Amino acid sequence: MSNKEKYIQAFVEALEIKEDQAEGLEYQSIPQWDSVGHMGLVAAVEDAFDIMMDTDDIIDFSSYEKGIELLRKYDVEI
Amino acid sequence: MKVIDAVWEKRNLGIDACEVLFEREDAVADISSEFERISAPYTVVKVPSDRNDISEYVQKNGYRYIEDLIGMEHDLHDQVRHPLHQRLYEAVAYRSMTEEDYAVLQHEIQSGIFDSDRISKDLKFGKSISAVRYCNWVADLREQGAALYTMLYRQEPSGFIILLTKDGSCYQSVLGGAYRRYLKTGLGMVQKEQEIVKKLGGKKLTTNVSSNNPSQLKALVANGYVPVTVQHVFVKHN
Repeated sequence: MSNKEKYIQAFVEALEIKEDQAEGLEYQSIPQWDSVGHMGLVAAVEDAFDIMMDTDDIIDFSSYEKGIELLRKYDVEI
Repeated sequence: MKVIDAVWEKRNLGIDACEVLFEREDAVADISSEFERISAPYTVVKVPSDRNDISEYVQKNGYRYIEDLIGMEHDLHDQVRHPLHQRLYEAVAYRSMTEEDYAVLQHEIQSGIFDSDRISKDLKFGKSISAVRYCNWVADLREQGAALYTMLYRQEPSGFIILLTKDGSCYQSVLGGAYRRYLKTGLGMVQKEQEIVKKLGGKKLTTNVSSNNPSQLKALVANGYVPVTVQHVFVKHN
């Protein structure tokens, strides 16, 4: 599985969305992405890439695109 | 049935208001004549959710549904958090609100951090009036001796919580929220009031949440609260 596929799959599983909904998604743009959903999403991303995100990055992870930018800090290229 | 002249709402909303609390033992036949005489410009009615007969009666009298108010309780048990949740929990500190913190809170409320309450959602009121109401409510709570706390992320105010108690044992988490910068960050999952109340010697924590705020309801359940009561809330503008 490519990094992009793993990344999208994290969104799909954590937020219970379809793959084509992930790109462009933002925090609170759907009911599932609230604070509870955010915990699940970040946990899924951490598991997918075997990383532990800094709390500043967890807080800044506000969209699909922002997540891609943040993951570069952990040497993960999407 | 209790009928309360909501004098605080005259200041908050600019009109006379009345609040009616139906109780589980109320019989429609016994309260109808008093209830039907209520004619305040704005009336709020709260009905226990298992009294469908009262809910129907209220709606037949022109009241419309606006929300469910869900009463939640926490027994202050030690919570086992997911490691990620625990990391965020440890990243947030708190302090008793300073005067400067209080000014920040008022500013944040005026900037519109609340939007799921029945005043915000009411087309005849809206968010601006709701913000005024919240500012006044916070000021009232402060005067009543409530405990106000500022949440801190990296030493920066990130949110607040207000606690009230009558007996030092049962505390009510009356109001709380994240500040604008931290609204879409996941910090809503970090709830420090259980820790605060335990330190204050409390044994139980209660709070209310609106059905118009399912995210907050989910966060409360995720932090160990359980639902104990549900009231249907109806309003009428005369």
